[in-house]
Amino acid sequence: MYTTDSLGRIKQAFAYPLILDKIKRAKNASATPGKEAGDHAGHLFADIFGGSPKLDNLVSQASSTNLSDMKRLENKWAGLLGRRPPADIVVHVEVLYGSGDRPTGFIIREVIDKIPTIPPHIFRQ
Amino acid sequence: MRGTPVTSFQTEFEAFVPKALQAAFDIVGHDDAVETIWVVAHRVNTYIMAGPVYRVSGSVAAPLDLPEVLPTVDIADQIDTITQIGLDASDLMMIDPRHGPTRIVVRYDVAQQTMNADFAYEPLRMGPDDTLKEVFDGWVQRLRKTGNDSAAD
Repeated sequence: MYTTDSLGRIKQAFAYPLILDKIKRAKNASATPGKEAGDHAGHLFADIFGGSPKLDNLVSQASSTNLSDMKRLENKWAGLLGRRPPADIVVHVEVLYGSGDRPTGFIIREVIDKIPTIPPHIFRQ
Repeated sequence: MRGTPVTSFQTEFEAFVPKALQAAFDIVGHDDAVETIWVVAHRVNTYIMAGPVYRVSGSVAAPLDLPEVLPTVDIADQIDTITQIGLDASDLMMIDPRHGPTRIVVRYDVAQQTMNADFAYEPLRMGPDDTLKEVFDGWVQRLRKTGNDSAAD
């Protein structure tokens, strides 16, 4: 589930609950708003979690944010969802903006097996 | 501060500290049982986790532990304040993400009204599957077990 702000920018995304989705996805949209040289069209929720390949789930992300830093969280979630029984994971992504369309960061709040992670994870770019 | 644009970082740090400590003290309602407040910030590349840690009546408490030691604190009401501390810390740590600190520890002794700060610049010790949650929790566990509140691993 996604919400946008008054400028039509993706503001929040939710996964209640997060699930593993091994279905092969269509090619991702790549023309994300505010994209700069070196940016990727990064998923708010990766396709392995059922994230959409369309612009409702994609924002401009620095390649280091997309490929390295957020990967740590995604790997942890995938591991917890792959165990038996799988963990119960709820994720809320808040997208931060300055004056433009390119996100300046992401706040990721997670609740794993009913326990929230406090403080939240913050990614800046 | 190795490689960091010193003036900018120092200026921003001096603005960050009182704001973060005030917010951290507000979270616990300025309770008399709070002996020490730490604001601890961790960074790996552009990934940051920062928040307050407390010693209350001799017990070390991370935010989720607060209701055990201060039953009047409803942590759900404090999420936004804790998040704002993290965002302010991320602004500070992103001044120089290549060479700036990887961990900042600000310690405030409530009774003495004294503040100390410690900085680490080496890459944080992280397992391949660790997120900064494990790093943050590990720092709190070390404090609890050994009393060591330094920024160094």
